[in-house]
Amino acid sequence: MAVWLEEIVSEDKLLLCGHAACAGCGPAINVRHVLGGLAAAKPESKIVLVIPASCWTIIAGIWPVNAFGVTVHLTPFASAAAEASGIKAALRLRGLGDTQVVVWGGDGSTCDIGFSGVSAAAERNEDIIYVLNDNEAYMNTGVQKSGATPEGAWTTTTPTTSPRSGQKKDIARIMAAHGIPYVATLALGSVPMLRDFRAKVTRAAELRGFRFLHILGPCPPGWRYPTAQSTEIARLAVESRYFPLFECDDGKWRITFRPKHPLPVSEFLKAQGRFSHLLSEEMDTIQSHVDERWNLLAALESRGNERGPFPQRHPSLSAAPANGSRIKVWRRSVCIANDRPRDG
Amino acid sequence: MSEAVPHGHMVLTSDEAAAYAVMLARARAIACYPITPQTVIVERLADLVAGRDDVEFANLESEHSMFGYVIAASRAGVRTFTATSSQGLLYAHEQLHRASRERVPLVIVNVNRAVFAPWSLQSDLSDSMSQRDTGWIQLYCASAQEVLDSILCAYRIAETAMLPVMVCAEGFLLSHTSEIVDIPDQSTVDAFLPELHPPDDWLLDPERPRTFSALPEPKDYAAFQRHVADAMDEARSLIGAVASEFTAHFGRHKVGALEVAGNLDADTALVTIGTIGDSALELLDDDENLLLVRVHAYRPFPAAELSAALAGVSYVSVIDRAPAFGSLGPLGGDVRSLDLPHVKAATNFVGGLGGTDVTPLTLRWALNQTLSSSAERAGLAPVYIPEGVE
Repeated sequence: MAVWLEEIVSEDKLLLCGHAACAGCGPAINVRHVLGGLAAAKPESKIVLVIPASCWTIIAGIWPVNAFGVTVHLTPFASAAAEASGIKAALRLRGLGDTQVVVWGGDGSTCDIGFSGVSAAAERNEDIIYVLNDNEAYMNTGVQKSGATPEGAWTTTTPTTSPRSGQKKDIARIMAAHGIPYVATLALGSVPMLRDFRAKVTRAAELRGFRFLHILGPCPPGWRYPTAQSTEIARLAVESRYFPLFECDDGKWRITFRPKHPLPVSEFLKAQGRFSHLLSEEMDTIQSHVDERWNLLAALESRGNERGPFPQRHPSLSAAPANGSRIKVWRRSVCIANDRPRDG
Repeated sequence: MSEAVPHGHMVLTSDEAAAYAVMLARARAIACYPITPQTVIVERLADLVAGRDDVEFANLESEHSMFGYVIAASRAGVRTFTATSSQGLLYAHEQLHRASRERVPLVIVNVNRAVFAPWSLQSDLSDSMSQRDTGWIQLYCASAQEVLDSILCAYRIAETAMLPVMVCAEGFLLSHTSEIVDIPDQSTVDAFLPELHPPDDWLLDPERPRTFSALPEPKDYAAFQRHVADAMDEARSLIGAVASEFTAHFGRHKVGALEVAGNLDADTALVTIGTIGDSALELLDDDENLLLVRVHAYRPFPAAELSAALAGVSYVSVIDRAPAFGSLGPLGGDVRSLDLPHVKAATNFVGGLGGTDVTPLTLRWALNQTLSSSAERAGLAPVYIPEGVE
């Protein structure tokens, strides 16, 4: 175990010190473990990171300073998934198809303005890893509500006198409904969670096709908690089942982290200023929604080896030939259709 | 299996001619999203590349994504193509600004169509003319042959200047009418258009980690904008040089920035863009005192060439097929910005909107208006061509 820990916290120089993230930025820790995990899983493969407009436009560094040890392609807000698809296509044509093309997109980009592009790239089963860095609001512009902002939360556009109503978009299940090879939720709150995190990154690296990693990204200025507590906040999110850790691997659902003694969600909520206006009965309502979602995930998991609730349209791609050969196997059938005589 | 590209003379629409030009140019990443009247181009391309492993053909879910896809694929080192019209071009507006500022050598075809609202499927130039300040080279065509030839030239221009090029063809007037088009053979095109070799410093190379388009200091941001302006200025001479080379290589005349016809010593000039320039040629049948100028390269604006062409005239009529609400039409405003002290009257007309006809009779009416006192010669509003003069 000690050796294993040493391996994963070693200096990989994929996100360099001196980057421009806020003190205590949860996603800054997460991105290091994503890049480190991908590099460790496929050391022979280079990584291209595609980043839509977000905090990371700035964290990447003020030109010509660069905080990343991998190629970074910055895009407009809504087109990261399409651009990752274009890069992957071009690299394949250039014989560089084993490059890991990875989107690092926020919740505004993924759940809101770029959602159609994310959905379409999943539907095309593009051979990319899409990482949702979910800090649950538009943080770069100063904390405005997004589709991923949780029920009851304060943001600057959902003030405490009219906090967020309705529930956070269940993006992981929505993505799983596309029948893609892999969907997982990840959070860094403890050593066991770190192990779960790295196992999921490794699994994503092993597979081919569209892989979706939904990572909780605690944000001290946006969530209103002290900068030293990002890991603790993530731990409370997972152990209260507010943010369950699960995966849908080739249609098979599995809760990957079961808190031995689940905490009430109020422990997670009370640790953050963004929920400080909530009354206890409002916390009870949130608790009931947390329980409902957990029970739903447990029901999905209980299907065992059965396929999930959505038909898997895409075959498992883990056995596909390596090194950049085309994965779009269904294209062949299109070609056959074109062999028919054309009308007129 | 993929279809072969024919060569020799064929009867084609400009949409079909465009598809063959893209194949001859060996575009390797092609993105599509349907919109009338462009759709035939990507339908033909889908047939032509089906089953080929050396071409990526992608059906995207919007024009915004489609432009993002080709920008990214181009940055990663392959020649790309896409096509759109009207709302599609407008939906991608953000990407248009970005493509030129990132110096991406895209070539696209915009099949011109009027802009919503209200709905119209018919042609005018509002879609692409309203994108004139996005940093794209714009080439407006008057025939299917010119569309094919301009696409081949466009790749040379784009990849030399490292600027995107938009080849514009009016919807239905060109896209859905057929004419004889001479398709060159592949080896002749290959000798004219070498493979894409973008600068190493520009190319996205996974072996060489860098961050592209990172946030700079204000002075550096300003410098990057200046680089685009400089590249655009340099492209002026490039457009003419590539056209001359095309003419010599293919043995078929290729218009550079402008097409000039009629009496070079005439007192009266008519400045047009697109297919209206083709209609204007009929005026020469019975008018020996008329100079015709058809603008092919609208951006970069060929100010020097146009000033030279209009050096001896007293009366200029400029026909726009797009409005510029609250100002002169796009082409009219640009012509009026030229220093032409000898011109007594330069009148800007707007017509042909939403597919309305601009016939030789319309053009004759406009010329007469400029010569008479009834035209608004110095005002900041164009004359909207009324119904009934066609």
